[in-house]
Amino acid sequence: MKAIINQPKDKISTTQTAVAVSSIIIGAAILTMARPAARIMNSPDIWLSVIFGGLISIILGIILVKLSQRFPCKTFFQFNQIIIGKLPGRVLSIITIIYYIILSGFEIRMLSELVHIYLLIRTPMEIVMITFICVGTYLTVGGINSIVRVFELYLPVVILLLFGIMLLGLQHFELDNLRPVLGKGFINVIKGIQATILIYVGFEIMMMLTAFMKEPKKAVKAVIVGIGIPILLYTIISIIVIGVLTVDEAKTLAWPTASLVNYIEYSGGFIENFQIFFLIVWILTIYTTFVSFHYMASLGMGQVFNKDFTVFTYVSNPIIYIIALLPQNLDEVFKLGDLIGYMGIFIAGIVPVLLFIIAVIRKKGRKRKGWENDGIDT
Amino acid sequence: MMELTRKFLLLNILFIIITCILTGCWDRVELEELLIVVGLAFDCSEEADSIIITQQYVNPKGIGGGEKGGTTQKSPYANIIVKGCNVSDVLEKSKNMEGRRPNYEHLKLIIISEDAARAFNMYKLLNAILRHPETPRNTNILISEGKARSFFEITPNTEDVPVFKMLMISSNSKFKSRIPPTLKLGDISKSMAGGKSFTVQRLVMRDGIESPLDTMVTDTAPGKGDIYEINGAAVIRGDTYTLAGWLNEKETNGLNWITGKTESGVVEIKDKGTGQIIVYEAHKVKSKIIPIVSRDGKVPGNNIVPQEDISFTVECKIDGTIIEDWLMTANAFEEGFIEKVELSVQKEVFCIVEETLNKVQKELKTDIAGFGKQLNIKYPKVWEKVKDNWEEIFSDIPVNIKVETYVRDYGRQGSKK
Repeated sequence: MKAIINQPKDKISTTQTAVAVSSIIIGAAILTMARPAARIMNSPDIWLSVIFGGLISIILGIILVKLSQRFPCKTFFQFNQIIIGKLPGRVLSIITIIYYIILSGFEIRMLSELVHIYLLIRTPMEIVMITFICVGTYLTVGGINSIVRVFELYLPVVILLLFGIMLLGLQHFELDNLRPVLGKGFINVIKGIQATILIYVGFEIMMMLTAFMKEPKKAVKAVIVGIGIPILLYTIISIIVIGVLTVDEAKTLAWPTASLVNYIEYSGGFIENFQIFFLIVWILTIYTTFVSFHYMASLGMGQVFNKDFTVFTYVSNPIIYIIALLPQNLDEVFKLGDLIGYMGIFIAGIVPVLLFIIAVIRKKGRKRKGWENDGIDT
Repeated sequence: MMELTRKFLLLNILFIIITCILTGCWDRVELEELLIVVGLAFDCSEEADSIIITQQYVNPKGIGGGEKGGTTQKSPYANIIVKGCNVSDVLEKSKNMEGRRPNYEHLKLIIISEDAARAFNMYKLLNAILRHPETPRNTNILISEGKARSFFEITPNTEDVPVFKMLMISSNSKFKSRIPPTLKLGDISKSMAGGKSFTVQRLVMRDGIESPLDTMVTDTAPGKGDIYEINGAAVIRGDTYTLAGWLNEKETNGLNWITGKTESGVVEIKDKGTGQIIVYEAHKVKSKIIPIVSRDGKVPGNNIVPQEDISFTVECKIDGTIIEDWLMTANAFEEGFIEKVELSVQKEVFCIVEETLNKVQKELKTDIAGFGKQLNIKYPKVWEKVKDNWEEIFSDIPVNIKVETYVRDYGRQGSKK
């Protein structure tokens, strides 16, 4: 009976899928995204790199949706065994699970770092982490339906507040800070993509979500909309951050976007400090990201070991906590972030493309035409 | 039965865990226990080897609706003066001197004395403030002639706390002539990170305070009143981050007209025949810095752009009003009068701008008006070649000035007769 629980019996709508993809992508990167790109590019064209990075993510997203569509109602953890065989498939699944667990730990650490700096200075970081993991676990064990419903609730709030805060930031905006456009040439923009593509990591979740969709045919639409929202949001943030802070300063700041919010001042208004709103939004985004990664890790383990995933949700908690504690200082946290980004490129970029090619060559799975009359068969 | 004991045990464990977590709030902040610091003044010691920082904090009991008379009222503000070898040293020491915990979330103003700005690298000096998690980025910065802390000790007539008064003078700089735009901590951080020179508003004791009428000294309290003002600008070099020199009121106006970051500026001209004064006030300034690179920066056989190839044109268009004239025959209704005034104003503005540029380029050797930025925008490739010692190169670059001034208005009275 237990095996049935792991079968994706829950179904989510196309809108919910798009919302889930957006919520997962929008995460810790909001705060730091301008700095790594600024350090590499040294020119104000960061926003162009952000757009191009997003477009590349959309292409990758479409590829991995096409891949998942060949295997209806099967998640990545299940169909990779069909494509490359049982043992290699399991190894690949375990690598992916490890990646998701590290990612969850990283999100927890980023959250506690920022809360430590801006909100709860004396509260031990461990307490923040444990509390957050507990709250996350509460949602994770609820399964995909409850997770996605919460995302639906949060995403409009996040987008609205972020746009609002960015609008307020316009008071210090100077167009000259964004000029010259393409001053260092187009090559520089391409170079910047290596930093900006990392902020879109998370869309590979479509390899699992497609299996849960009511109408898997519309998965391409969902992934385009799902990545499109973060592209829009990230482009606006990068334009305003650079327009307000200049590239030169964005390079020097630990949390450029937080500094931007710190800059906002409307004297006479009854609110002087807008940072609190920003932090609320940011914690929400971290929460959604954490929960989905945590869920994916648990689901993966559940499907690999053929057990109920909720057990693994609890089992992975201490590991996540330990990973969150591993970095010794802020620099190591950022380095871990980069490492995860590259792992993400491997899992979201290279693996699906290879699997897709192998699947086509070995004629595994079904082609798109077979959708209409298919039931569930394996 | 077994089930019940197990539940009981679990419940107990849960309670123990909960009590461990909920020991209380670590970050409890009681409003009454906070010392709200609103101003910092940086001075250096006689030998310029250590820093003296004056922190001004507000005493809420002294502000506003406190009952007057009867018992002595508390002063609405107080200063702590601490000496130390670096900024955080001072901030740490001050914790041992005050019972309440200093809080910098409402830091409004930082004054740096002339000596400190000359002796210390300002980027280093402000580093502790820029790192501090509490300090807002919109703290105003001023540079004072003379000791910075002395300005904190003058009780203003109109405000409760000295810092608030200075803040009000320094803000809305767009509509005040003779001062550069208000500079915030964030702006300073931007400029310094980019290695750009910048101007800071100058805080200065007024000279020529002769009579009580002038100082508005009230009864017996000396050092009270409006004995200081903010005018002119301090120029900070972008490469050494130290004070390079001052711009006086006229030059500051000139600079504002070049950058266009103002909507004000008063020009005083003299009528040709009679030598009588006519005063013109700008109310709209539009200016443009146009970089010109001849031969497009391409010199055959040479990779370095010769600085002769670069030049700039400053176009400045000012709309304004005649706000005062001492000329008895002046008649704005008459044809030709306005044109005459416009012409003389144009000449005067031209002179001021030229004088300013001369000082900025030749004497101070800084690029505070952002010429480099415009070159960067228009000729990014040329900029890459000259940016490393731009300010040195800039000092020899010719700048053409084009001034257009218009009299749009002459107030409520057009002529005297």
